[in-house]
Order: sequence, then C-alpha cells, then structure tokens
Amino acid sequence: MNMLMIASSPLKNKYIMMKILVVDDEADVHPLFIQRFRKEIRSHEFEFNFALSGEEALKYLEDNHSEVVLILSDINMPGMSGIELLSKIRQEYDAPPPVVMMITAYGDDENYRQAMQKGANDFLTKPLDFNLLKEKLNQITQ
Amino acid sequence: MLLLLIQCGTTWSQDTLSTYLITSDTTIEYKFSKAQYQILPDKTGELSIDEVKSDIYAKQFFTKGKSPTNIDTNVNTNWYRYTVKNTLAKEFSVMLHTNQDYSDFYVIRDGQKQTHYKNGWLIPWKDKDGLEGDNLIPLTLAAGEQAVIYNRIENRRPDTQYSFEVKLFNAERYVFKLFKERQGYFDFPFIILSIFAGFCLLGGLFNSFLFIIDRQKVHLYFSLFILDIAFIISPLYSVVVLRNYPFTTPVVVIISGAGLAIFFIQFTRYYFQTFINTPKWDKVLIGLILIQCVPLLMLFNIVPEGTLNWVMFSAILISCLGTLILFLSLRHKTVKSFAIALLPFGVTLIITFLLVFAAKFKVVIPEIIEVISAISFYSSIAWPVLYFTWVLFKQYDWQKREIIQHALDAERLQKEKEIERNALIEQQKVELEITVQERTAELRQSIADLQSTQKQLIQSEKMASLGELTAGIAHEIQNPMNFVNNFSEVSNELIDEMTEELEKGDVEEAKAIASSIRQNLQKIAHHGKRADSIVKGMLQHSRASSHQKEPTDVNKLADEYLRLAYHGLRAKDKSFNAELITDFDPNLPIASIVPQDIGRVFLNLLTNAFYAVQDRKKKEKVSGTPFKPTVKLSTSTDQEFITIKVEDNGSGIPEQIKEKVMQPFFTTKPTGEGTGLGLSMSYDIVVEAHGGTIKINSEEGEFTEFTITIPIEPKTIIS
Repeated sequence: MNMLMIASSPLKNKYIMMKILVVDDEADVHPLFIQRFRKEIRSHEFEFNFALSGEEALKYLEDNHSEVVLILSDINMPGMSGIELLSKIRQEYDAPPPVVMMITAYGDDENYRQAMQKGANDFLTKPLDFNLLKEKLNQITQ
Repeated sequence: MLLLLIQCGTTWSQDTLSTYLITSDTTIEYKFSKAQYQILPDKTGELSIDEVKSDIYAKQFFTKGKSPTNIDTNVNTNWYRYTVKNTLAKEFSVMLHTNQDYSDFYVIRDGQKQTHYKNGWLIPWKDKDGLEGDNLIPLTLAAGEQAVIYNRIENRRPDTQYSFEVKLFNAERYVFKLFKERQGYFDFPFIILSIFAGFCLLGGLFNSFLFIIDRQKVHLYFSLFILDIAFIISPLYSVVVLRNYPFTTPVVVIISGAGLAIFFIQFTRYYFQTFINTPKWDKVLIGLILIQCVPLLMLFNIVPEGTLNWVMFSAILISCLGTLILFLSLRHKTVKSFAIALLPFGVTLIITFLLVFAAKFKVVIPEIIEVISAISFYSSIAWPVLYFTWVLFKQYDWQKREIIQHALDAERLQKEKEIERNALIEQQKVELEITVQERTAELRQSIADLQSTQKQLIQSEKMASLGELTAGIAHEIQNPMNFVNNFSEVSNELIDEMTEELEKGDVEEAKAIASSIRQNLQKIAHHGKRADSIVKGMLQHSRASSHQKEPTDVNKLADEYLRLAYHGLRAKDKSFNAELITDFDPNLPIASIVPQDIGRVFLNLLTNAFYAVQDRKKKEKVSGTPFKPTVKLSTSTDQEFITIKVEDNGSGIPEQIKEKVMQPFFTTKPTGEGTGLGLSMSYDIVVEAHGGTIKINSEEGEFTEFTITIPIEPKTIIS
C-alpha cells in the first residue's frame, strides 16, 4: 500500500470512527444494519445514521456533511430516487467528496451504468451480502 | 273594180295566178293545183299584211310549181296567196284549213272589208277562229263571189312546210263527214283513252300506295311509269289545259316521253335489282336513262323532230329486251313474270304484222282490223299494268308475310331467350346459394378465428399488464427477501453470541439477545408473508379470471396495485418520479367484486395516469416549466356505491379522442407499448360485469380524472 495514499486519505486513522448514512424507504433496514454491524458499532468503528427518503438524507447532510464519509443509498424510493440523491450529493458536496454506494433490488446493467455514470463509488444488489459490504468498508478504511 | 283587178293582175308577178273556181257543191275537198297559189317566203317573219299587199312584195310572190327550189326550208314563215270564186248559182260555204303551228287568213272580198282569221296548232284555243279542234275556218261565198286569200303560215317545224297543201273543204259535207266518223259527238277514241288513262291512274295510285307503305322503290317507279302513261294518253289534260297554252306542248311531250323511258328503266332496274345481279348491265341502263336528256334538244331545234320517239322507244325496247334476254340466260326467277307481262307486246307486234299483211291482200274487213289492232294495242298496255300491279302486290303481300314471320320469329326468339335467361338465373341462383353457403362458412370461420384472436388478445393484454408488473413485483420480492435473508443470517450469529453469553453466565445479555432474535424472526415472518402475497397477486393476475365475486377490501386492493404499478414503472424508467397521494375512505364497506378484475382496472388506470404524467413531464422538461407529477388515488362511498377516483395532472385526453378511448384497440401509445385493450377491458369489467360506471373528465395538458362507481351489493346484471 502506498504510504502517500494512506497519508492523504481522510480515513488514514484506523481508529477514527467512520460515519455512515443509510438511505432506504424500508424502515426495517435500520434494525438490520444495527444488528449486522453491532460489533463494529460497539467498537466505534462505524456510526450509522438512517434516512427514509432522499429528501431526508439531503436534510441530514446539510447539517452533518463534514462528518459523513460514506453514504449507502437505495435507488427505488418514493419521491426522490437514489440516483437523484447521488446527483445532488455530487453537485453540492465535493469538499471532501463522500463515498457513495448504491444498493438496489435491480441489479441490471442499465441501473449499474446509470449509477456509475452519476458518480457512485460502488454498486451493490439486494438481498445485501453484508460480508461483502464489510469487506468493501474495510478496504475504504484501510 | 275591174280596174283594180286588172291593176292587180298586172302588178302581180310575172307568174300568172289562176283563180280557183268552185264548180261543184258535192266535192268534199277542193285541192289547189300548183298554178293556183303563190308563195312569198318571209325571212324575217315580221311582214304585215299591208306590207305584203304593197307593190314591193306583191311582185315577189311566185308559184310553187315554177320555182320549187326557191322554197327555203330554213324560213319559218311563208305567205300563201290564192283566189277562189264561187261559180255556183247559190251561196256556198267552204272551210279554210290549216295543219300548221300558226296560220293567219286575210280574206279580201269584192266591195268588202278585209277579214282576219286565226288558227293553228300553237294558237291558244280561246284565240282560235272557226272550229278550233279541227283547225277549220268557215268562209261563205255568195253566188259568183270571188275572194283573195292571204295565208300567213308560221311553223316551228320547218320541215312540215313541205307537207303543206293548199285546199278547201266543202263545209257542209266535210263537217258531216267528221260528224259521221266520230259517230256523232261521241268521240270513241277519246272515251277509250279516258277509260285507259283512268285505269292507268288507278294502277299508279295503287302502286304509290304500296310504295308509301313499304318504301320499295320498284313500286315507286312502276307507279310513276303508269301515271306517266295515264298522263300522256289522257285527253283531259291536253283538252283542258294544253289547248289554251299550246306552245307548252312540246316541253310537256318531251318531258313526259323522256319520263316514260326513265321510269320504265328505273322500274326494270329495281325489279331485277340489276345493280346487284348484273352491275355491268346496270351501267348500260343508267346510260339509257341519261340519254333521255337528248330529246330536250328538240326544243332548240338541234335534233330532228322524231328524236324523242326514237330515243324513248329504243331505250325502253333495249332495256326491256336486253334485261329479259340477260336474265333469261341467267335463269333468274324474276324473268318469268316480266316475260308474262310483256307478252302482249309481242303478240301485238305479230298481230299488227299479220293485220298489215292481211290488209294488203284485203283478206279481212278493215273495221275488223281496226278493232283487232285497237284491242291488241290497249291490251298490250293494260295487261302489264294489271299484271305488274298484281305481281308487285303479291310481292308486297309476301313481304308483309315475311315481316309478320320475322316478327313472330323475333318473338319466338325472345321467348326462347327469356326461357334461357330464366334458366340461367335459376342456375345462378343455385350457384349463388352455394357461394352464400361457402361465404357463410368462411364468415363463421372468421368469427371463430376472431373469437379465438380476441381471447388471445385478452390474454396478451393480461400478459402485457403482467409485464408492467414484473419489475414492480421483482422489487417487491427482492426487498422482503433482503430482510428474510439478512435477518435470518444475523439471527444465526445472534444465537452464537447468545450461547457465548450463556457460557459466560451473563443471562441478562443472553436474554436481550434472545429478544432481538425473536424480533428478527417476526420480521422474517412478516417479510416472508409480504413476498408470498405478492406472488399470489401475480398468479391471480395472470390466471384466467374466475369471475367469482368475493367480499373484498377495495382500499387494500387499491393500495396493492398502486404500489405494483408505481414500482413497475419506476423499474422501467429510473428517472421517473411522481408524488403519490392516497385518500382512502376508512369507512369503505367490503364490496362484492371480482378482485383480480378490479385489480386489473386499477392497474390500467394507474398505468395510464403514470404514463400521462411522465408524458407531460417530458414536455415540460423541454419547455422548462417546473412540474410536479402527481397521481392521486381516492376512495369514497355512499350507501349504494363505492367510488374510486384516479386523478393525475398529466397531459390529459384531447377532446376529439375522448369518445374513442374506451374503444378496443384504441391507443395513443407508440406501437408495441400498448395493446389498446386496457380501457376497453376496464369498461367491460366495470360496466358489463359489475354494473358500475366509468366517467372521464379531462382537460388537455392539465389533468385527467377517471371516476369509477361500483355497486356495493351485486346487481342482477342483464347480459
């Protein structure tokens, strides 16, 4: 691993807690994430916040954008869609740009292409494989 | 007086003119010798009696006997001079006679005034003196009286000058003779000719009548021919008309004579139809007709007097005999009747010849000869007239029969045709019947095909709406599956942790973990059911409708389909977004409906609403106007009906197609995107199957509002 890269990364310190915003219209996502990351939460590796819509997510970011480094967002939501949210984030929050991962029930090429085009850092499909997600999160923190 | 006579005698020419002495009153004709009259040719024809009597001309008279060569035949006018003396002891009447065209008599008697008499063929009847018809002028001389007579003769036919004889008639005896010859005033030839003319006239009229009826030219020409004969032989015309206009006689004679030949030849041509049968001979006949113009030249003294008769009779004879011989040689059937008609001509010729021969040898009494010749002459005219009239009438009759036969044939033919036509119609009927049956079978097949197609279409519409649903269904399944999978996995982990805690002896912690596990299991169950109901709904939708009405919570059904429709569309078009407003009446009664059918209606109406807002959004994007797509689904109720409203602020329905949107296969969507059956099927479901209503309220570019009412209790539906 390049030392320079680690030095320049906002997540260079392993022990710095990572703030993650999860956006999904399904309310049960909340208990699911809490349970799945209970160890990480306990060890203060991650801190999770939840938004039930794109609008809610933007509102949260307005207040806490400097703290949030990772956003996990569903695509299909009533009202503002995940893609719209992504576009807004990429337009308004570029210093520092948060890492955005899209999570969707539709893992088709079109969805993937659109998400990546709008500036998503990664793309995951439901049902969500939490082991994979953890791996990806660990990659980012290292 | 004597002096005068002597003077006259001396002044008269070198020729001595001897006085004609009447010595007997029993002689009929008093013929003058050549020495007893003198001639003075008048070249100009303009000399007057006074001039002629004057010294200059008186000397120029000469006796015919002395210098006959002096008579110039080219001179039309001659003066004759002679003296006659009644030597009888009584008054005596003589007749001055002329057979010339114009004759003027100037009678100079002793001690009396000169008297002037006129007569001659070309002098009109009324201007004639004496006995007009016989060209006789009575002259009565007293006993011993002497008269000098100047006779001016003008003749249109110079050659007749030769035949002129100077003579007088015994008035009493000559008139008596004429009277006797004519059997009193009963003029036999006159009557015979009149009868004959009448006969010919009748024949002519009869043939004219035939011509008028059948328009056969042969009738016309035969009619003209015998009418012409009637005209020529009829004394009526010449007596009544011509005698006062005698100078027209030559013209009338020439024209009627030429006409006779022309009509006869034309008759022959049409009778034998030479122009068809013998075209070459026909040309000869036409030539003979044209030749008939030649006699007209007689009027100008170009051709001699007899030309008319020659031309006319030769033409008739040539055409007659020539045609006869020609057609005899051709053995043409018409020749027989023609020959029969002309037979009397031949017989007459022979009889005439025999009579002439007989007369010569005085075998037969002259009167008998006369009678026989008269009979043969008249019969030779009468017979053909009669015969041809009969033949032509026969022809006419035959033609008439033929025409009738033709008419009958035509009628029969028409009847046959009609029968044939009827048969044809009958046959066509049968064929038509077969065709109709075939067509009916085809139509039945078509209907059957159509029905099966309709079924297929309905099925495909179901499938199409299912297609619209799949994406929504996928989402709706994936989401619960996500929870089911993950909660079950995490519960597994929690059980491990719980075991660890129990081993450690931390019961409190283990209990807390167990509570989480229970919650998780509840969530798993909840999401499992959620997936299950989605799958069931899908199956229900695609399955053929049972048409079984069952108590249904319409609010729940509406919500379910709203989600399906929305997510379906979202799955297809990521950029799509719309505000969903639901206004469900919580007091909505449970209605008896066919849920999958009404669900289909919801799906159709909602899909249309989403499509409309999406469409408007695309348009607004172009124009830049801010637009918030909104779809509202509401339910309400009164005591009888459930009312469902689907409202959108989309592009609306244009006024002109509002009427059509419920029609099958009507769609505004691009080809392949809609079957055009959605609304039509919705109409059937709501109106036909549930006894409800569908109302559309829309403004183009503004909004669309579908209002569905469904009776809460099923009505008896008249199908």
